[in-house]
Amino acid sequence: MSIENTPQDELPPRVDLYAALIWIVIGGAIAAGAWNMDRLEHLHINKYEAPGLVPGLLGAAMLVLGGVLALRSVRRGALRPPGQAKAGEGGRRLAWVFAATLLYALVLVGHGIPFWLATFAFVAGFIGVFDADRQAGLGRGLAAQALRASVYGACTSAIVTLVFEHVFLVRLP
Amino acid sequence: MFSGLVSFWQSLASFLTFESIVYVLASSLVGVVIGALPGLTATMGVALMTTLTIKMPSNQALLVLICTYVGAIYGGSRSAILLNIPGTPASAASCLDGYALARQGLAGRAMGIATTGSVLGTLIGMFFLAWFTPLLGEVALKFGAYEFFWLAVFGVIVSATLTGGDPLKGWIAGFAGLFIATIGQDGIHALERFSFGSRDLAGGFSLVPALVGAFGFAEILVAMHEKRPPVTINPFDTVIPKLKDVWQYRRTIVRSGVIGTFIGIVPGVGEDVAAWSSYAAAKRASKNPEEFGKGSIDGLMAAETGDNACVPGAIIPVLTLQIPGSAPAAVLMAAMLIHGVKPGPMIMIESPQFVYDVVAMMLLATLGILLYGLTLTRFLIQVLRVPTTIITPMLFVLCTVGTFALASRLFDIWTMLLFGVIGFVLRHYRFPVAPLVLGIVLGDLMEKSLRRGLVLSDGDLMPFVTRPISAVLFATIVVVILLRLPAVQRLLRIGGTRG
Repeated sequence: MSIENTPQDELPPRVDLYAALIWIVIGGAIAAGAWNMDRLEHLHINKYEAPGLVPGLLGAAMLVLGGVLALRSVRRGALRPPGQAKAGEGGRRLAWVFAATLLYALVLVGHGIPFWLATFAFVAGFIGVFDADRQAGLGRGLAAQALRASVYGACTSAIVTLVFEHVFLVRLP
Repeated sequence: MFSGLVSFWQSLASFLTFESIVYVLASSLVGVVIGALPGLTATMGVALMTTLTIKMPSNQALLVLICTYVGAIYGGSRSAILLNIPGTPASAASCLDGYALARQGLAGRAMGIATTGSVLGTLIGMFFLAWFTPLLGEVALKFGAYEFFWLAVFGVIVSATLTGGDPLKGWIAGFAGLFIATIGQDGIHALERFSFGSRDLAGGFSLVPALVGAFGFAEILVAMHEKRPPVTINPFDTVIPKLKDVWQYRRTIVRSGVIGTFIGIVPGVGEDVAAWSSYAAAKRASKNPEEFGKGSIDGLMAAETGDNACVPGAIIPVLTLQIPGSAPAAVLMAAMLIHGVKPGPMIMIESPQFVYDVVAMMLLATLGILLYGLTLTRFLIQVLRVPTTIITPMLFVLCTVGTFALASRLFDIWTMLLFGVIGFVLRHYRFPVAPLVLGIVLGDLMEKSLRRGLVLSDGDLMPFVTRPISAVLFATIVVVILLRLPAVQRLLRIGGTRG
């Protein structure tokens, strides 16, 4: 069995095969976890009320559909030698963006640093780093870039802090 | 009939305060801006605004969310027409003719048509919202565990099948969403499942942080991953809509409004399918189908009417069945639950006035987009020129603060980050996120309904397929799945050729 796919959404079959294998592992793990779950027999509950019933069925469904995806990708040539992988600039930028967001959400916020300071540092730093190419293209020097990033950071920090604390009346992290 | 009108006027009158009007103006503007910015979707806007309005009275908060939702679906047309980039997926169909008109120097006319279509589409959907909700509410009273089980499965399967892309991947994402909803204490015996000893996980993942992550943080990552070129905007003429257009395209407007509303009612499908379906129907009915894609006013009117009519349509099943018709409606439903409003089959019995409150909110949102459609063009063009690198850190701050504001828990921020990464990875590997989200929303209903149904029938599966409504839902699910199988499609093609 295979399922139709729209051409514009197609990825190399090998990528689909890797994704399928991950789903098979996840589905299998869920089904196994559900099977081994406490069935609460000591409470004399109806066997159809067992807490593992639905997760088990869902895990099995994911396992089966992962298998179908794997079979389809193999039929489409997933086992043929792969082409040259491209190292993208987007991937590197994404890694840095991800690191910056994690730094803000997991380290800077909620661990003693004042919220306004953490937000200022994050926004100014983010714009300073990731907007640098565009700014340089506009002919702005490093000092001008840093000043602009700081202004954006200060404005965001001040507005978010004031609006959340005094308008929406919520506690900041 | 008249009691409904009286209730509607009472609801509308309750919102005619200075405070409510300020909320309408502000949230419609936020919605239009979010919708206009490529990469930011209506779902993200509604999810973010849910976190911001958590301390507001329920009706005011829902007013803000509905204005944001309607505004965002409308706002997407701006970037579709001016940049050929759909501001939201719902506006993808508008790119075809909207941008073609812009290249002919008719961007202003195209924006006027988009405003006309969106306003009238919302009004048509609003009419059906007021008319259909009580009727569907009566039908919903006949639903039991078996029917709710199939309705939840139907939502996930149909969402995965119709929201574009690969249905197999959509089904996997949908089942993953249903599984995620089971994490934490089970709803019947409170046994901890898949929580690995974590006290935070024992409570399960909160819906709103998961949605903010899947549609907010994930979109930030996507926007930063795909570097967009600087925008170039065509010159434009007047944006004032013409009454002549309304009369000339009245059939398209009514047809698209009805199609959009009914697609909205189908669980989990949403505005983009509504726009494309309305567009296709207009093309079939047109005397000049060859003009579609080359600057057809008819095509643009159909797409814009259809997607905005879908918004009230998607709210109908939220109110009557507690099943969202689209991804933003799923967030709206979560917000209703957070604010203590309990949608579902009992709504016309327990709080019928609330249904008319929602209709009044929809009318105010329509006035909001009409106002901004006529006045905000130059401001929106300036907004479209703001680079992604400046907007994204600000949005991430809002995602973080907003999720924390819900319950002052750092765990909610971690949830947002986790679902952001999941959403990004799924999108990257072409797994649709909408079925995942719908699965998370419907998981609890699906599980409880299945277990209750099995207990009631003592394990007999027959009531799941023999009760009339269950049988219809089951048969529809089977047909939807079968129609996506290549063998069946080949058979249909052969049959079609011979016919």
